[in-house]
Amino acid sequence: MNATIALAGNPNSGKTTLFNELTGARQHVGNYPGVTVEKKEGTYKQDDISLKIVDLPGTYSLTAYSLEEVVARDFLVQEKPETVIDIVDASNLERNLYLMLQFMELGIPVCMALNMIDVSEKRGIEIDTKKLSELLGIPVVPTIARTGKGKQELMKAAADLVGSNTKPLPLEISYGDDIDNALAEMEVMITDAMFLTQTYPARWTALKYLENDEQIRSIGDAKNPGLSAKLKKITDRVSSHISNTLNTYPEAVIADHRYGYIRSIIRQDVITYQQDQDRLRISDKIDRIVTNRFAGPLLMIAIIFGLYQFTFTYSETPVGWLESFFGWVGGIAETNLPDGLVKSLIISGIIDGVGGVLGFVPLIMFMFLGISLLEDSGYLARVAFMLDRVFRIFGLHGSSVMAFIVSGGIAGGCAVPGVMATRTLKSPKERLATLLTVPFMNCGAKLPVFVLLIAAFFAENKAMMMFIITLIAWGGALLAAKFLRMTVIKGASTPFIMELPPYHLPTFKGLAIHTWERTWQYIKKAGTVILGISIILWAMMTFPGLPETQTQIFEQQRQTLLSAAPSAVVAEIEAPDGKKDDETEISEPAQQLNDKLLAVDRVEAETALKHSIAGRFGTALEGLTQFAGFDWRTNIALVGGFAAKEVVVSTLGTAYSLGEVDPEEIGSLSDVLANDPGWNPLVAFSLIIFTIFYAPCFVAVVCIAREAGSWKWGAFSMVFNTVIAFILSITVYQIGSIIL
Amino acid sequence: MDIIIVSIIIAAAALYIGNIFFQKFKAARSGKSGCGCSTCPEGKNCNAAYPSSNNSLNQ
Repeated sequence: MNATIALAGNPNSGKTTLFNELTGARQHVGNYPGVTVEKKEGTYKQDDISLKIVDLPGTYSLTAYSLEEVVARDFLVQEKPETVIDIVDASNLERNLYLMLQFMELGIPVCMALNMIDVSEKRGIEIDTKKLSELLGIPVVPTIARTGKGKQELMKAAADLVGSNTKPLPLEISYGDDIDNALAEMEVMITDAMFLTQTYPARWTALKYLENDEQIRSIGDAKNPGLSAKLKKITDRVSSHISNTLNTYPEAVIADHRYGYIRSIIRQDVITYQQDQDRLRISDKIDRIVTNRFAGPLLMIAIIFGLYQFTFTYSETPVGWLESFFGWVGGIAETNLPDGLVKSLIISGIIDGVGGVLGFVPLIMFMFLGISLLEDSGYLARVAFMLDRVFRIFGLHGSSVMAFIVSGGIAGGCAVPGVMATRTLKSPKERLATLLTVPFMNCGAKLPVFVLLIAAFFAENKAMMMFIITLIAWGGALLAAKFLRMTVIKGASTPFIMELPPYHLPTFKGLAIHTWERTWQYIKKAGTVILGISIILWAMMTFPGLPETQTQIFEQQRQTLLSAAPSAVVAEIEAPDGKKDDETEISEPAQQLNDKLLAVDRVEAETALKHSIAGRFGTALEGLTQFAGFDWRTNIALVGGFAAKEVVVSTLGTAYSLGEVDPEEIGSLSDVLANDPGWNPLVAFSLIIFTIFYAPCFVAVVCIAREAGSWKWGAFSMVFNTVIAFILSITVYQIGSIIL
Repeated sequence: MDIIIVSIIIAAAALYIGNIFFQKFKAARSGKSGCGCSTCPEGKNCNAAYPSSNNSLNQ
């Protein structure tokens, strides 16, 4: 059997979890609208049944108030899946049945997955599924999507519906005399003219006209303007009558009657309450503490700090292993490859470049694990709720919080989905202010930069430093938003209503999947985009190479040193193939000669690096960036960071690798920076500040331009962010230089 | 010989990166599909998670 089944349901009903269970695909379980992908497809196979499963956006109804609803509705009437599985939250049956009724009014074959029955039972809510099924006239299967319970029974019920030859008649609810009479009149007109009857039942179309459904009216206007106008006239007449007699409007009357129908079902002993309904649910009890005006923020700070402490503590050892591994690989290459460009490319461009980014994989993994735990448990929704009142002070909105969190508010997000998450903001001004400031968050690409500098200069207080960086990012973003809302983006605030889903105990499987998904994406990016950019930057830092005249000068210096030394000493340091031996095996005078020769090599390498394309560009910028404590290497790295922020790390890795000529001296990049005289904690902190605030990466800029509706805003974000970053870095560095 | 090998690798890297960023630019510009950035799990894109609303920013 081959057929298409659509999964539908309210947000947070477990639809995504069920989809994962049925198809084996991986999705996030979030609490804001639109977290599932529209038209996400998968296949369910059991015995000889193969069913295409389509996951529709979570919706509360099939009106046209939001695009999610329109998308879901359009799919149902145009694609005509053989069956719809409506996933209903058993602990919120009344609310969830509203959507179910609308499927039934459309005449779509539907069965119900009565989900989260374990949660409802714990709350003392017992549902008579047999009774419910009889009253609705559809299959009702109890499920626990999280564990897969009821999955097979559900799919059997769905398969039976698919195989059944009888198509259900559209449900007809009575909406009171006024509306029923108008529906009857309109239905006749629609049927006679075969007006949209290929797609929608006639009564349903009439109902949508009475509900002022914009999409249906637009389609109707295009299809048959004359008839559409007559239907609208009837609607206006009914609206006027209802307004005069009941002091309300048709949509409200229709909604009331639907809920009345639902209550009439539930009253027939469908639900039995085991406990006193006044007793607070556990989630509500927890929220009394977690979202408390005073305890809530303190708890939030403690949780975030705890996350960083956990991350840095448990990832330290595996990060060390990886650093040693890349060091070992580099050593193998150094020993076995002949000197030349290929060797330099492999060691400096690839191993030291990409290795610098890959070395932090364990840390990234632990960070993502912690964030997945906060997300899957439902705690992040509480963060949004608590920060709403803070955000309003700065001219933003509670919905902006999720955009900030997605961008890397805690750590490890991305500005691109953060910018897109602003689509949930209704106010254009609040939306624009949010999408211009989300790039200040600590995205996953900035994380390696911070971790590198923290490991090198703030090793004693890693978690605290990361926490401070988070606070700086949020503080800077909010202040920037306030500035924008007071100047270029003035306007009033809008109200914020946010549903707080019940807490969930995340499953180990879910956490593992979410953590690995994000970690794998980090590894893939390092092995592809970062690798490609590292090779290009290596080339820019290698060519055109020193001119012959300069090379000869350095060679002469080496010859002068060798000529001045006793031949025995020279013989000690030179192996038969011309390479210098391990210094521990040579005498004191030989050691001193070796050091002098290495010093010449080092100066030559640095000169060659400065002479390269990238070096010249970096040096040219030094006139300005020196005030922030940045040298030409850092300048190259920051420019590369515009492509992808991780490139800052890989570029520093390559630059210092190219400049280091003694294989014995090459350690991890953190060690190299810590021992470099040009670096100190103040320089590192200045660079951290700059990295937090400067221009977003290339893709984020394009997204900003697109979402804001103009390239002007994309350019503005680059300039505005970079100027802020410069001012702050210079301020920090200059004041720090005076104080310290 | 080294210069030839290195030149080939650099050219391949440049073409690869150029293509990737062009695809990301097109995707981000069109708003119809995701940019494939590192936080989007395979097979999913962040753009579809936030469908365009009628809340356009007319500048």
